[in-house]
Amino acid sequence: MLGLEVEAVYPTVPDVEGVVIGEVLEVQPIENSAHLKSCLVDLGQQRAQIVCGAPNVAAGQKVPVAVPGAVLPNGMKISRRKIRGVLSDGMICSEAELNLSDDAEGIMVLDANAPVGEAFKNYLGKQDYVFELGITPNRPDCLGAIGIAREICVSEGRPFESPLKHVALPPAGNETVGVDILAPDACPRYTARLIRNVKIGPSPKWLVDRLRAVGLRSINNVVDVTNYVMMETGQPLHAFDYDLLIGGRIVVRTAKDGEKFVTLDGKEHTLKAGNLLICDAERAVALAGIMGGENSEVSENTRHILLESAYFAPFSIRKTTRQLGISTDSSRRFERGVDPNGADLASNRAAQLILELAGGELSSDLEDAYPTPITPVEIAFRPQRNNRVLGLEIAEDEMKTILVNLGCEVDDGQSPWVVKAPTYRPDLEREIDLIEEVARVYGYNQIPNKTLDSIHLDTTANAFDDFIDRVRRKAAALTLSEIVTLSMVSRRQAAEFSGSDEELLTLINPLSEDMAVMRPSLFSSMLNSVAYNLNRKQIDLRFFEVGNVFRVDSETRQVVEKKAIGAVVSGRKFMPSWEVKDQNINFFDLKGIVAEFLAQLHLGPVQFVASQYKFFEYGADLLVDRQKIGYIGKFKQSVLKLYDIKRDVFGVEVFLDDVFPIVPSSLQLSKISAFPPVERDLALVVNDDLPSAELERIIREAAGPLLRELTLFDLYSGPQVPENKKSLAFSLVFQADDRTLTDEEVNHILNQVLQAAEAKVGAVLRQ
Amino acid sequence: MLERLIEKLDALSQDFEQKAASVKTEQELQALRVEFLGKKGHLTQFFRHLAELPPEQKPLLGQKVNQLKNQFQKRIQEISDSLQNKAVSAAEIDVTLPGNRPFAGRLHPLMQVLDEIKEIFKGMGFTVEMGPEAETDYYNFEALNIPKDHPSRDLQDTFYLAHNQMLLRTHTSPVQIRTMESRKPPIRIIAPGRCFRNDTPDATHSPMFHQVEGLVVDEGVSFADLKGVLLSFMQKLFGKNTKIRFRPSFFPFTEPSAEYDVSCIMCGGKGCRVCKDTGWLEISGAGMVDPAVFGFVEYDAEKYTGYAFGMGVERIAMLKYQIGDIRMFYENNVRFLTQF
Repeated sequence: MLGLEVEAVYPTVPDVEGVVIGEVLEVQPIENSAHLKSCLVDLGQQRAQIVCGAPNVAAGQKVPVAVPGAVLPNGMKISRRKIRGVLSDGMICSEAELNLSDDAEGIMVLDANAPVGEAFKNYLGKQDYVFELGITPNRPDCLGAIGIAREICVSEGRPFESPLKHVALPPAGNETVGVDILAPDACPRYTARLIRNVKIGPSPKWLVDRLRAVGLRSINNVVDVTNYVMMETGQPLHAFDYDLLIGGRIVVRTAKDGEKFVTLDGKEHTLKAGNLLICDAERAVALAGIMGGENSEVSENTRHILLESAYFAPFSIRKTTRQLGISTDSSRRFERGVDPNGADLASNRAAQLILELAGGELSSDLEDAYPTPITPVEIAFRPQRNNRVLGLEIAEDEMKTILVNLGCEVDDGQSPWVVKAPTYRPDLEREIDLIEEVARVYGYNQIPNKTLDSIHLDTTANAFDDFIDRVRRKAAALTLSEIVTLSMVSRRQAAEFSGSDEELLTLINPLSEDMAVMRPSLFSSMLNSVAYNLNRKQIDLRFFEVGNVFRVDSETRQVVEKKAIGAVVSGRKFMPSWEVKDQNINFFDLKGIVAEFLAQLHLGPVQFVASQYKFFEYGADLLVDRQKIGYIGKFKQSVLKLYDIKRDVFGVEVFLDDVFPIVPSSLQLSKISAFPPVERDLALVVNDDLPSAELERIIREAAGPLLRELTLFDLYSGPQVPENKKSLAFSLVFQADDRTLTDEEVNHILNQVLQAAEAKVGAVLRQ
Repeated sequence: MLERLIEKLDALSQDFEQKAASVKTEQELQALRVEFLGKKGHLTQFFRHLAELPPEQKPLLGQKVNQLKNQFQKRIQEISDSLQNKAVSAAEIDVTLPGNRPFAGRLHPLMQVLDEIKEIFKGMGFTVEMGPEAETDYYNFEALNIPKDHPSRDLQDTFYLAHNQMLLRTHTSPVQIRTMESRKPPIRIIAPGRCFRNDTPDATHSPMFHQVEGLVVDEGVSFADLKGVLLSFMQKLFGKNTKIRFRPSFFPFTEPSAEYDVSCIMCGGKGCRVCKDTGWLEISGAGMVDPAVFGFVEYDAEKYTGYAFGMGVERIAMLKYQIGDIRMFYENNVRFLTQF
């Protein structure tokens, strides 16, 4: 409950029943195989022939062998089997196969004195457990075991004292190491110490085991100590081969642009101006805080070492790791901020362990270049403010205990208190940072749950969101089902629905080509869901989606993001029925849905005007008062082919940002007449290219306000009308609010309608 | 003449009875009525013959015609009554035949959950705010106290746009800033919407997801208020016995920061497969608005305090419906969608 999340717990000794220690006696290549070898392995009681593909297998090695019947931690069952015609009586295991590390490159090679024939689990030693913690980026102090121990003490209300303060070292010789810091901003502190006559060799088993438990591979005793102390203290350290440092001195400077440097993993980096380098008298020997150089690496032949323990500024390390694209255990710690005042203590601890494990003597005192020491931050802290922000009453002395246990110096003799935060806590800079510490240690769950005690009503604020919800519910009521599709589509899909390629809003770092562009139209992503379902034999698809569409305005070059509702429909007109004949949904079904949808929004008359679209076979603009609010049509086969769709699909898209402002905020109801309506039918023959909406407009205009309903109920073209003509039959309903209409009145209106239709578009009454 | 007419009337009566016996529907009955009793009906013809008869014979025929008229009317009424009362046999209409179902539109499960979340918060006096999905670095990071080169940017893999140095918002937190820029406290809002992160899709990750973020700013707002609001929200969403728990965490835009969990909605906290025997389900992050954020929007951090919280809509929907794979929400398989 301290914010140190335990992400996993696992045993240091995995379940390796059936794995024994063997010694490789002979290694022979197998015919017809480039890398498989047949090995004769002594297992103590018996000898076994085992086929092995590892590049590092060699006679004389002690190795872990899984014998037939063993089940490895990854579930693999070992049995006797033939490989390339050669009998194999078990398997020599890698660390990965034994769940000891991720290392799967070769087999695991054990200590030369590992007892042959003994169970491998005994070799691994006493069972222990590794806790894997998730450390948030503000807590570099917890990137070492000592920091974690401090947190545990604090949580138990106990003071904590770092064991580093009790490291005792033998007296040092009087050699000196020159350290020049030429970039004090990036490197405020650099300590170096010379240890002569070390004996580089393998690390003892306890050290190898502990490093392995935290996922590190043993290199040699000196390098292992630097890593171990980093894991202990959080302070990264580096050991140079002193004989390889030209001039025997250290210069800390920034790189020149284009300077080349080879790190100890063999990679050459081209540096940028400002990258921080550790140099000897002549050349760079380490990429500061990130990785040492190949030219000064500690090796079997090393006799004298220079031990570095420094404080590099987070901004500098972070910039370099970003520019060079490298990240190491060391750089991750410096980036977040190690304790500038802990460099010496960590160096002492490492020196102590090196002397213990590799011998040698301290030839110099700690050379400590620290031109401007970094002092603890002083923070004004008001206990009342603490309680006000947290909403509870914590006693002042309890706050003080918490802060002191965390390592703060607290002067509560004045108001506000003056609190000095320890330098290992770079996250503590402001009063609120201390309030967080008090809350954290006091326990978030001890803080009461307060119920809302104020009323806050702002009824106008939700208008657009409420409108969208209303629109979604109407769409669902009109038989459309809501879907949610990805806002990113492929470039090809987007291009089909975009005016030009310059208008596409593209991603710099897309996950894949399929998600490279922000959709310019909801169609571009919704059709993916049509295809997905058609592929699964679902053919009746009536989808809608509300989402944003994106384009880059070709003139202003600004990103234009609009909220739209889109619908795509395909399949049958009715649900399969024994009574109703199968028919497919068509343009007019969708148009009807749209007309009803818009009518329910009370938008006033909506016009559908035929228009050309590059993605529609035929389509229309949706206009309200000449303003385009959307479009509807039938998708072209060429577009559907891109989605692998072989059925007819119709679509409509309406821009909600444009519709919302013109939706009336209140309704104007019309009176319901108490007088009877009069119904008449009228069939007119017109040219077959005359849009029916045009004829309707003429009829309405000529008929005037007494015409209350106008419904097209038949469309005919064929032998009963002249060639290139069609007949449109309407039903007209007339009604007045103040009287019963007479036949004469209605006939008179019909005559006017006929005359107007004849005069304007040559319509004649169908006989 | 009279005899002939009376004979004809008898024949008419027989004809009527015959036809009446075969009437099965209201339409047929109506036809029968018109044929015999209509303006030009058979019986009406006889009234015309009355005029042609000598006066002493008139009453006789008239009586006879009226008698028949009454008889017909009565019979028609009887048939009409029985037709309106009739029960149709199973052989005529098989009521077990399937009905003609309309296509029914449905709302997406994710949006249903979002609707529910919004309703609960609206009931608590929160208003809903929106903002663009294509955002600027300033609103998505900088004004939220996440400067360039800050390690916490590593927490979020951002999609960058090849235009005006914009990006796809990684959370709906930019709406906090936009709202605070446009008005003064008190503020009590939620910001629902799509967010984007450069995560390779798998069962629990999607490059696009939905978040609801809440923000409350006023004088005297405390961490205890934050806890109370989230507790009462979660109890409304998951049931009144739901408990919540806070764990310290880190976000650059809140301090103190917390992760919060709810007691497992499956087992109530006893431990089960869903909560991996912990009794708790992780939901998201929350905390007190960092004073640095108030600095960006020129609020007086001494006068005002505030809290913010987030929650993933997918996460809640997956818990609520026990859905194991987040990708199901965006595939829109009809067989999945029609279950909600």
